[in-house]
Amino acid sequence: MSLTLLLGSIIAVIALVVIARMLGLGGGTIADEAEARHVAEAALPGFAADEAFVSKDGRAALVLGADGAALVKQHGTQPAVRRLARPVRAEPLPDGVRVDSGDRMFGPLSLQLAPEARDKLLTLL
Amino acid sequence: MALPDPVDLAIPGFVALILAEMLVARARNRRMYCPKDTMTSLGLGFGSTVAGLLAGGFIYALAEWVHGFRLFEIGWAWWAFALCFVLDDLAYYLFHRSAHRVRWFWASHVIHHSSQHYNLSTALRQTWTGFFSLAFLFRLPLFLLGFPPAMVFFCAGLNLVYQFWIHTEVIGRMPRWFEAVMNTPSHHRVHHAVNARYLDRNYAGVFIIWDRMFGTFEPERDEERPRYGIVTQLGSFNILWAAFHEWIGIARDMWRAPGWRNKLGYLIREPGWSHDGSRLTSARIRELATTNPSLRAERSNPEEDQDASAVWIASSLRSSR
Repeated sequence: MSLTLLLGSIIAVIALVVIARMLGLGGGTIADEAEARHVAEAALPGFAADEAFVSKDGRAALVLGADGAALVKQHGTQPAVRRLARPVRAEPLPDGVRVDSGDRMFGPLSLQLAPEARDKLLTLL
Repeated sequence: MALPDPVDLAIPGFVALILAEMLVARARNRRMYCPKDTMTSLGLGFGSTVAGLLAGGFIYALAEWVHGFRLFEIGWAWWAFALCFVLDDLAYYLFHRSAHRVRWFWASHVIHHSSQHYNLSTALRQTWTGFFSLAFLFRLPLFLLGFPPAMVFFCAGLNLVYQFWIHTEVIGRMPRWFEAVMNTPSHHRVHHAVNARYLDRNYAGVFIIWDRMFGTFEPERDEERPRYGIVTQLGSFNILWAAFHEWIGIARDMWRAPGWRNKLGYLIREPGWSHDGSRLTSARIRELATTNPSLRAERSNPEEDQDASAVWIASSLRSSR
């Protein structure tokens, strides 16, 4: 491989990413509680979803189950999920709850919730 | 004989086809592409090229050395190219199957599967650690048989170029005869899927006949759309994490595991194996899917427009595993 081809490849990579942004590709959120439950059950074999709490911005959700919980993260256009053991490590925020995934690269997630939903979730945790 | 590198020649075509697929995504379903995911895939592809350049000299020298012990004198006849291409594809099948069934090899190959998207940019999401994982060992028998190293590497390049176009959802099914013999977008979608039914299936590079022969073939079903990625999705676009996360996982597991037998297990057993049975292998995931009705597939419509695709994505997420 020549140096020209190598440099050309770098330029092509940058150009394609810029074009993808200009074309408006991507997007997607967790639509509602039902979708959050389905996402959790599909991603975690054996997980039976019960109650779900979806962040107002659709970027995160916490799904409670009989044997733990599922933390759902909207990762680009697709959801990524982590199984959490009870008790779930979470802390209240003024506008919701911050949940620790236990995975540094996955990160903690902040769920923006209505006050009643936040209080209910904190009680259930 | 000096032969060109087919991959180098194909790079402009790769770029043009990715651009064309992006335009299709714009028109049909914008969620087919995610710019951050594309950046990670293409960045990993570029890094893989650099890693290949660094290791290439050693691998070529090793190939020449092994060729010195060749069993047959195979010249540069046309049939030798054809035979080399077929046998190289068989070697690829064996490598690829091992790459999914032995965690040491998986740690290198997982990079290619770490995107939750299935588009042409995913094809370029290639390993940085192929040399370290000793993946080149699978091709050594070809040199020992007597195929000239330049011929083998040329055929391997053609094989890689062929595999580019099958990383797409834009193409549904090819003609029946083609689907019977060749690896196609449909067959390879199954390979990239994490649905229980599809896990660890369709290892073929060019010819799907290897999977049919060795019992690892699974057809794509219209009622069960694939969900892509790995069993535990990365949830991160960090390029270094994508490149090395499984190696780090192996090191952690080996460090913590009690006894040398268990430590070795984390190196050579299948991905998902654990000494205390606390994790899920693909076989265990399949078992759970057959016993848990909530994990079974539901029907979905593959001919979606953008609005319908949101419905499809939601319903496909409900599907099996």
